[in-house]
Amino acid sequence: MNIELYKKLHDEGLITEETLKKAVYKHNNPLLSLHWELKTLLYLGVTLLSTGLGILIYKNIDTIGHQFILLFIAAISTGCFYYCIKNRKPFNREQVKSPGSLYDYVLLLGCLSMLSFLGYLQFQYLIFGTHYGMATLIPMLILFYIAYEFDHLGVLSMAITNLAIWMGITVSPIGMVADSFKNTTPLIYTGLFLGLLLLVAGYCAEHYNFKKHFKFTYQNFGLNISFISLLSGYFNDSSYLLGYLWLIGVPILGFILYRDALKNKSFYFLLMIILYVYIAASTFVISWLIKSDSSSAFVLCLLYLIGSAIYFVTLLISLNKKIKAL
Amino acid sequence: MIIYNKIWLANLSVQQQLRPALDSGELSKDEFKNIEAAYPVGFYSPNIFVRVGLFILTNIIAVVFGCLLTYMLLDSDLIKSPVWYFFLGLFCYIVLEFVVRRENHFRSGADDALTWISAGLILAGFLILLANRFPLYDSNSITKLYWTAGIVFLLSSYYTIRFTDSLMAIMSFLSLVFFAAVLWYNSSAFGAATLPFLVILLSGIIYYFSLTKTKQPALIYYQHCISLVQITSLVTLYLSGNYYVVQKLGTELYGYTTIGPYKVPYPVFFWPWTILVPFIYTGAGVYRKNVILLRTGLILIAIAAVTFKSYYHVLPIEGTLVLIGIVTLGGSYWLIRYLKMPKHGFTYEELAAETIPGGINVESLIIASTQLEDTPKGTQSPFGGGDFGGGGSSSDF
Repeated sequence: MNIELYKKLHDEGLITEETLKKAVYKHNNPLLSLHWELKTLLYLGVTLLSTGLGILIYKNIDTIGHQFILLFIAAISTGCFYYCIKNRKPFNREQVKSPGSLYDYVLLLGCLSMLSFLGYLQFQYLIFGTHYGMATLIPMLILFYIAYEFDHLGVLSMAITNLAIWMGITVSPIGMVADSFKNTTPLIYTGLFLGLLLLVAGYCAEHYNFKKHFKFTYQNFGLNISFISLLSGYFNDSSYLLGYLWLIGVPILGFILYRDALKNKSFYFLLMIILYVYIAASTFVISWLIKSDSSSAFVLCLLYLIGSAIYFVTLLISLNKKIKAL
Repeated sequence: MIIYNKIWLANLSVQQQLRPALDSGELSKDEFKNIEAAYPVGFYSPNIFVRVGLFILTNIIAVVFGCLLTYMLLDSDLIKSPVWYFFLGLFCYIVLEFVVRRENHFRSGADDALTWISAGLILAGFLILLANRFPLYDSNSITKLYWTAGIVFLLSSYYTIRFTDSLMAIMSFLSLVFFAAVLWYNSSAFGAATLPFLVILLSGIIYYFSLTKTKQPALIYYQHCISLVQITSLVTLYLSGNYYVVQKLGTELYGYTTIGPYKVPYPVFFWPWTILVPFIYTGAGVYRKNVILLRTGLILIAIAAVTFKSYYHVLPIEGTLVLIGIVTLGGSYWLIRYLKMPKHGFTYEELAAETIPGGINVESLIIASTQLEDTPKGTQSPFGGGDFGGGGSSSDF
């Protein structure tokens, strides 16, 4: 800490006497925060210990037996949830501040070990038989419930991932067998549906003021999944007219989300939207230019890339200014 | 020599020094606003997203533009000669000077990209020149190494001084050490045998000077370069005495000699060095409250442990993991409890909330990106590994 700087600023009348006193006190009693070092060590310890225990159990599975391991995992999970229920704050539609970072991790550990427990049961004893849809649906429902009940964004992300797995599992075997594994279109439709569903969920969270802060996570997943589905739909059907239908979807969705991002002053979403729209536009222009297969087309491609990238730069700078001014 | 407006750089330094105080709430927002007004900074330094975006886009523009120019001159002999690379590099450099001087870009992504592209192209020109002079696997290949290291040193030093770029400062330091090492290695048999000690000595000297002699007003604009050079010199100081590194490098340089495979000389020196130096760093970091020493030491302890483990098998891997896990977990948990109330000038509390500008929750992003792969998929084996997605996800965004 540069105490001379504070004195100078005080002489210039920029900071108050009180601030200077605080600074001098701090200078004379320096305090070093070991927050990040200790936190990192803590996580490292947990990771090493769990990996080591995992290998230990794996090597000795014959002597330990599956029931014991299941019991052990269940005990961890129950213990974690017990801790969380004991320390939790009551449910609220608004954001509930977590009691501490330990609480967050315990909840996460509880959820992960619960998933391991269910996965183990399915793997070893096939409790859901071959109803894989069922095997993914139940953890998903539990995860969504926990995410809302305990207000945890990490668990929400896990729940959304499980939703995607469930939808993928439900759709893909049927579609793939029907098409002798050649066509992935059903998966693309599912992806688009999932993405739009998540975007709607994000919209509803804000509109009905029910866990408003979940919107970011919903929108982050929804935006990426929808755009990727649209683009892969276009790449898949680019030789048909249907391909253009996919392509038109990109700017339309982009425009809707663009207005929402401006409203929420989220530069991250703006950047993602522009990026996807740019990819769509560029593939369209370049594939159209390359069709004529001449050297002038190649030069035109290069010129297009330079021009569009320069335009993109100015757009980025001006949008950044616009968001700041809002 | 510095291309930037020096008053702005000084003002920026004032603002940066006060920012932690603002984050921890000692400085009120009004006071900080007054200071910002009294010490204005006119640089264009956008947030990290814009910076990354501009970096990528500038790269695209430069590459495509280079392609276009090369394509237009495809039939001439010019593009085969090093002059072409010098020309492209100088062109990028002129654009860089323009962007920085006229548009006042400062760490905006565009200037970062142009710095590296122009330096890379100029270096490529020199390398082609060298390759033409000294064909590969010639007896002169050592001379080529001198030249390469020397040119990298001169180029990166120039960029460091002119643009106060910290990565270039690291490049400059490393190329200097490399240059000295090659020179020493080839000077005599004695030099070849004492190579690690030269690097240790050189890193030590540079660390000492960067720690003690850098408070002069002339170096005020280079403080971040100096801290990075400190970190790098600490790492090279340790690594050049690390048993594994010495053995690998020795095998590489001397290979199988007439008296059998290469053996590390003076194990009495290198083993204690491998194990003790990280702890000395950490201890000195705690004692002097020097964050750089402390963090470098902590990371190097892990490297020392891995080095030791790869030579001596005391315990099977799972036993080691469990043991170290318990010690680390227990130790850090105990320290966290112990430091709940500040003691001896240390605390566990966060003094300033570290947030990335741009208005998003970084942790939730990390969770989202790691969880996509980590979630047990219901039908998979439960022993997927011990990945942690990270938590603390209930903070604001």
